Amino acid sequence: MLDIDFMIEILPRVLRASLVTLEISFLSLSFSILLGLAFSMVALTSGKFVNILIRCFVEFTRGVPQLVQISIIYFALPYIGIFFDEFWTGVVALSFIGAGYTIEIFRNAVLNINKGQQEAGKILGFSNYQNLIYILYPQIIKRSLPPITNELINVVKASALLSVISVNELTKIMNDVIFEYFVVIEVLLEATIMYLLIISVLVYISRYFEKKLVI
Amino acid sequence: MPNILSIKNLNVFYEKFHAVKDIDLSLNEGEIFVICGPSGSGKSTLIRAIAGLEKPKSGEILINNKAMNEKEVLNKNIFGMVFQQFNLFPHLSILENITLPLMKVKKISKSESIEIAHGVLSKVKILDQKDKHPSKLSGGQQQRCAIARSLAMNPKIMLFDEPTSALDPEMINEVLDVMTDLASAGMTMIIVTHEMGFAKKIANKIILMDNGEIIESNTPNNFFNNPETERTKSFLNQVLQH
Ligand SMILES: Nc1ncnc2c1ncn2[C@@H]1O[C@H](COP(=O)(O)OP(=O)(O)OP(=O)(O)O)[C@@H](O)[C@H]1O
Ligand SMILES: [Mg+2]
Repeated sequence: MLDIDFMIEILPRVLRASLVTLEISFLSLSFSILLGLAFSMVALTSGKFVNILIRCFVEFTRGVPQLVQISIIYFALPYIGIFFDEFWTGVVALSFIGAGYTIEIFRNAVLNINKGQQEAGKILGFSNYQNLIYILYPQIIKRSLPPITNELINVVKASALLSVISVNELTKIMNDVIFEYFVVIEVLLEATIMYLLIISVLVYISRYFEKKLVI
Repeated sequence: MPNILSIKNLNVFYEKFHAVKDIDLSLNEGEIFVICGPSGSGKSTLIRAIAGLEKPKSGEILINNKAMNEKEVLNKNIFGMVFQQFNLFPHLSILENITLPLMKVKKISKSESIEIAHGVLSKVKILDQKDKHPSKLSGGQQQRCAIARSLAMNPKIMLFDEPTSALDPEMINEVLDVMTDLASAGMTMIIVTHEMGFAKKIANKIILMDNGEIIESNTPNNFFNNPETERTKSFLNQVLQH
């Protein structure tokens, strides 16, 4: 039988850890969306060389194991003189990992928008920048929400990897509790439920915005 | 009327492909210039190069006898352009499609932009549709909105690239009527079209293009009744049969 009392006893700790996971996921996704928009904008308005650099970045974030990338950021940041605590190091790492995906999401959305609109904008006198801000982005954001929701799920899952750099998120706390009490099933079950809850809430919010943003 | 547009020795390439070859043409204020020709003859390329959408390899474009490059042409809103596919902004209402460029490019205040938009929308007779999104309008209405959007920017010359080719037959006339109104109001226009009846009525000059070259340049009367080249005759035979 499950030890329900024990599950309730550890609940405050698990909830606090879930909150950390939620914060990290939310911040990381927000930053990766901003980075994705900025990089895709740079890619679309720049020449070959810049595009190759961005391509390399995308291939790197997609090709290198996320655990390795997190370690690189963890050790690289202090090396270049930036000292963040574990929490913010985790956010930086997940933001860059996410950006590799959001750049591609936004780039594909742009490619799917009829090029004629930008030509019309150009003749009306819009600069490339104005074309992006007023014509492309409003449409891209709407079209990108479904893949962004998938990315959101990936970020929540990837946040578990931050346990290796001792961020007090859900997976780390789950492991701590298991080793403190030598209880496994109850802790795993509770953490699993928490992850599912977090993802459901975030997906719900995202779907809400999808409906709100009618073309 | 004074000369408004002269094109000298215009050449446009796509990579190695020579799409527009040594084109010369000249247009006076208020004139209507019609370009026709078979598919792939370079009509769109020519009109796009004039508009500043394609960079010519060589040649000159003079506006009021002053040479201008693509950047200047675009920055000064010399041309308005109407496309086959309308190219409205789908995320904006009809009204916003027109006010956005006025506010962002011409830096005109919102209230004044709305006033201008109302003016051009009533000119093309779709003022009652102003709060809808483009996808809710018929093709003919969308194209008239595109014309209104161009007009609002107060261009010197209007360019039309097959403005009725994507329309259902019953909507073609409402767009051609708007263009006829514009012509009567004195607008200078360059029109690529397959509507030969319309071309005959509206044009001051008409050219036939083939393989990137101008095969014949004539008055509409001579073009249809007394063409100079065999190529024009066979082209007319083909299009008039349909
Ligand atoms: N972006 C492009 N890249 C390469 N070749 C092109 C491009 N656009 C057009 N062409 C080629 O240039 C030639 C002229 O094309 P253009 O679109 O100007 O013809 P058109 O007279 O407008 O034809 P249509 O009546 O079908 O619209 C064609 O052979 C076409 O295949
Ligand atoms: Mg064409």
